[in-house]
Amino acid sequence: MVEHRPYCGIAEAVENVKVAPKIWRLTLYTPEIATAAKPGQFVNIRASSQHDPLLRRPFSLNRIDRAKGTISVLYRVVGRGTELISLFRLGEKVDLIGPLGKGFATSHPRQNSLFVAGGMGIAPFFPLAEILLADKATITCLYGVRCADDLAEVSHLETIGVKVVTASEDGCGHYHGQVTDLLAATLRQEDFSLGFACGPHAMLSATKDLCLAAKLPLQVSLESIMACGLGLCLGCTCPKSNGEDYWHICTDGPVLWAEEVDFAWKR
Amino acid sequence: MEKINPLATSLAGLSLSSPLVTASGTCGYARELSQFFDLGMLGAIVVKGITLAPRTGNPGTRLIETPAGLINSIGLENPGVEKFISGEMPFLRQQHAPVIVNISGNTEEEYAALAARLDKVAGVSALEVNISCPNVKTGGMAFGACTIAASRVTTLVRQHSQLPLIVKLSPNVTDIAAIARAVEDAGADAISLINTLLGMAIDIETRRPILRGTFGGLSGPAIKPVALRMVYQVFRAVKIPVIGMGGISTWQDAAEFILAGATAVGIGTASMVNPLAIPTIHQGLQAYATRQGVRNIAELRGMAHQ
Ligand SMILES: Cc1cc2nc3c(=O)[nH]c(=O)nc-3n(C[C@H](O)[C@H](O)[C@H](O)COP(=O)(O)OP(=O)(O)OC[C@H]3O[C@@H](n4cnc5c(N)ncnc54)[C@H](O)[C@@H]3O)c2cc1C
Ligand SMILES: Cc1cc2nc3c(=O)[nH]c(=O)nc-3n(C[C@H](O)[C@H](O)[C@H](O)COP(=O)(O)O)c2cc1C
Repeated sequence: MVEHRPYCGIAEAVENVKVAPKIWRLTLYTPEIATAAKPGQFVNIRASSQHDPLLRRPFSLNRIDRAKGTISVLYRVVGRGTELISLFRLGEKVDLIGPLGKGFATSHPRQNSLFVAGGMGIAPFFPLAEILLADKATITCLYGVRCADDLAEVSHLETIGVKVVTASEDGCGHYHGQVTDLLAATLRQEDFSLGFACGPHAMLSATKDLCLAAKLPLQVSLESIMACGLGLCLGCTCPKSNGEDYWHICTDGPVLWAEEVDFAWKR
Repeated sequence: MEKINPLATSLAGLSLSSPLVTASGTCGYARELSQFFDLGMLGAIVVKGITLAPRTGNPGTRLIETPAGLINSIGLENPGVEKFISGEMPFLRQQHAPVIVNISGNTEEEYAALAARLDKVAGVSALEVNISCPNVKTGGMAFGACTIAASRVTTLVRQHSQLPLIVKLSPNVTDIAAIARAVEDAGADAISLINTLLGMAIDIETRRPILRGTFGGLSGPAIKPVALRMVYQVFRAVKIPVIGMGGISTWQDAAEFILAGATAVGIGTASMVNPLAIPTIHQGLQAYATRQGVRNIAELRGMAHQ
């Protein structure tokens, strides 16, 4: 069950801009969601009012601005749904539900927090950083991308006080290699109190192993194909590490403690 | 003056405030939908399929979106009948809508045991016997694909339960009317149809079927014409009421099913896309009944056959 009754209705698009060659940020005026939302939660957006694509598209909250009553999502155009969303104009009446799911748990010791992001996994970290920084935490964000075109958010995160270290295999980042190699090197040099990771499955799996070995508690934000996003269909699962049954990513997650998740599931 | 409700419906001895019911497996045990509207406006709550023992559901990918459709392979994930009764019935009992429990077995004995167990449970208004689940290895659809097996399961459940009995048919058969007649003869009080159509998708990079179980169940607008045709055929074939479903997402769709002969209609995938689908359809249907000049929606039932 979600903690608050989610809003289900229309929100007006107040901005929809390209921030990198394939990455866009959509900002919506929706005080209901902006007031209730927590970092790590998501919204489920209808890309079309027609039957195709049928299902809503889930996106993490990338900005939560209570004062303005807006939220944003940072999305990569990967298929038909995101293509249609990129065509939303100013004033567009966007059909969405949110906030959904359980966000990041921020009540643990977190004085020196570590973010590990892979690609679009950077999306949920800005609002999380805002909360942690307001509490005087220091944050290091390791951010892996394939190429410079995939970079987003770096200057925004830096402006609010996050130390961002980028990694890429094509040499465009600070670190030449995968973000998980950067993570291994970073964990050898520095102690952190709490880790948060979001990104592709293989990256999360490796991040879990490295963080557990370093005794760093880690929360992961998971993705899966979703239908309702509400717990109606039981379609978006990932196995629990107890080896017996499944988490439902939309309601138990999308953020879970890494140790509770069995990453061996992807076929 | 008493306000007449043009959508009031009676079905297999139950009084429903409207013909709109949830389709099993698309609204869990209704807690989630209750965040969006008062469940009292539902004709009935049809819960996710229950089995005797708990089931964790299928591994791997469970959902594939298709043009105007959805293939699912949930695999009847559910807490099992005992936990359902202790954990979910207290909440369901408080809602002002009849509760229809969808049951599934691997064997005839399991159907019988489920029927017997649920028979005296307070708040359970009827059973929907799912002989049409495409997502389990044994049982399920196998019972719905042959007249003899379908009739045997129906007879057995009838023997073990006093509750109104709705048998849910699979569309994955050559002669739906024959199956419908078989379950009617075996004592079913109503028939619901359709369950999902067997479908599949292949990952062209790995060259393998996407679902571990190869096939899954197709639902959503894509299946509506097939569902409507089957409801139309079954209405002609039997005297017991029909709950029609399959791809209904608007009041116009619901109206078509009623005109084809459905006494009630189930809304599934549409609620997953829009949790307010049922209230929206409700409103539209009410206005339609008024515009058609009928006192009750039942007057439109089966009109497409005339
Ligand atoms: C909780 C959650 C939060 C997410 N947050 C973000 C975010 O902040 N920014 C962002 O860019 N993306 C995010 N995603 C992924 C995003 O939902 C998908 O990229 C989007 O649904 C693709 O839609 P499409 O129609 O453009 O692509 P499709 O044409 O449907 O598919 C294109 C490709 O994307 C894959 N895909 C489709 N749906 C998903 C999905 N739900 N999750 C992962 N891969 C998918 C398909 O397998 C396919 O390879 C999130 C997903 C979840 C579950
Ligand atoms: C995710 C999902 C789960 C389902 N689970 C069940 C189930 O447990 N028992 C059952 O009889 N039908 C189940 N169904 C079938 C639906 O109840 C319905 O018959 C079918 O989806 C067609 O209606 P729709 O197109 O409105 O969804 C399920 C369908 C979906 C999409």
